[in-house]
Amino acid sequence: MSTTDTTKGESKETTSGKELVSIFVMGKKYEVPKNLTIMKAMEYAGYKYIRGCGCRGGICGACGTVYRKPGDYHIYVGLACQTVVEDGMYLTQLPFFPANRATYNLEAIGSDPEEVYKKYPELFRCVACNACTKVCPMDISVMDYISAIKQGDFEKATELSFDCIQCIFPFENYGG
Amino acid sequence: MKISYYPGCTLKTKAKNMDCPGVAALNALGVELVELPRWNCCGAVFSLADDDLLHLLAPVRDLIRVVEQGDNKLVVACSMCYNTLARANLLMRENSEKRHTINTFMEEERDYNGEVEVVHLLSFLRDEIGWEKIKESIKVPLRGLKIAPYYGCTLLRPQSVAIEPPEKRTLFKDLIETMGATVVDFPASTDCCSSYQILSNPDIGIETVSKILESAESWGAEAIVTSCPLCEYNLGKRQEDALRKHDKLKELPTFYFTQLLALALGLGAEVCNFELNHNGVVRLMESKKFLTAA
Repeated sequence: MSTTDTTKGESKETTSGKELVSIFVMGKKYEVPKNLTIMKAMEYAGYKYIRGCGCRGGICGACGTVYRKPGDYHIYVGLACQTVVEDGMYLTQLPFFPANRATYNLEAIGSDPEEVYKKYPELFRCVACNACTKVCPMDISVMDYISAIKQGDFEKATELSFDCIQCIFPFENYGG
Repeated sequence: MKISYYPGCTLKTKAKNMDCPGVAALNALGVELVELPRWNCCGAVFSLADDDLLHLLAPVRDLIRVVEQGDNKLVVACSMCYNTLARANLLMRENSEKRHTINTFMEEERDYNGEVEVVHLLSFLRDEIGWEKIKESIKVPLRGLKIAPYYGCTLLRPQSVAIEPPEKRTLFKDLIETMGATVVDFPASTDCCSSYQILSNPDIGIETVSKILESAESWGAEAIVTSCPLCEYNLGKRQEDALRKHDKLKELPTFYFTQLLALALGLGAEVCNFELNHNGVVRLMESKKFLTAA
């Protein structure tokens, strides 16, 4: 996403009756009310979403966010519109998911794994590391539906991947 | 009896002619092969690089799925899947350092310590069902059919996961005799089929295949039986290339052992998916009257 930083320096403002937590946006510290989503917290901090906002409903994937927590070696991925801020969270907004997005006529290619392989050759390099599932901000079982495709079980693959819209929809249709 | 079953990707796609007759045959013998509800590719080839733990994740995940089912035994029909799963299992049992690294990496899974027993379907037939019981269930004895058992590599190598000692191998022999057919043991029975070399070095691959076919034919075989989809691809589908190159070679139909077993149990051609085989399998079966007898 692109953002407009309208703040001047580090925010120390407090809101009466609201507990604050510290978050870091692109390395810069902000005090924001706890229980806000990342998206709301960034807006609270003064950022204005002009791109990478999307549906705000936890579906489209436009507001993908990579973050870390203090004392935790994991790298997390979530949707800014759904993930609640935590104290000490380091945030980086993803402007775009650089995924392969093949275009094809589903009825024309049938349910043959070989046809999917032509569109997604990386699929057959899968070593079941499960990183794809972990990086999916929608918690879709990506590894399992890739396995289902390799097994020729397209019905299972369809059910498991039904919620996936490849994090592209908002970019093409909403312009952000 | 129910037993957890790992079919593998190839058996669910290009080698349904190994999976379907196997499931049907075991069912006829009173065993339900219960496919794991959740499984992924076994990794296909066991990586020999000492520090390549990434390629162990796939087979270990599959073994974890068995534990999740509350089971401790897994039956595998495909030779390559068996080999990869059994070797990964052994490593998880014996190498505490690598086990710790793998379990730590797969933190979203339960820890795995090699508690599952990986069994090839051939061993299962002998040990859990028994040749006598199978013999009693034979409806269409394959009398007069001379079959060369082809083990290839992955059932017997390395020794640590071999289903039986290579020099004292009897599993295929006993199964063939149980089905009423004649065993043609031949010198190339445990040779490599050229594996994936058939794709990267097809000339070498075809020569290797030709030698195996020539060996089986010279010992009087009418058919070859295998348990590996890659061996079947090389000896079966690519047999045409070998026949074109060597005039002396004759067509030698190649079967999966599950197909012959299903046929012998009287389940008929409909469960055997013979359309996925190559080079005259139906012709041979018809000439022996094994299809009409069912």
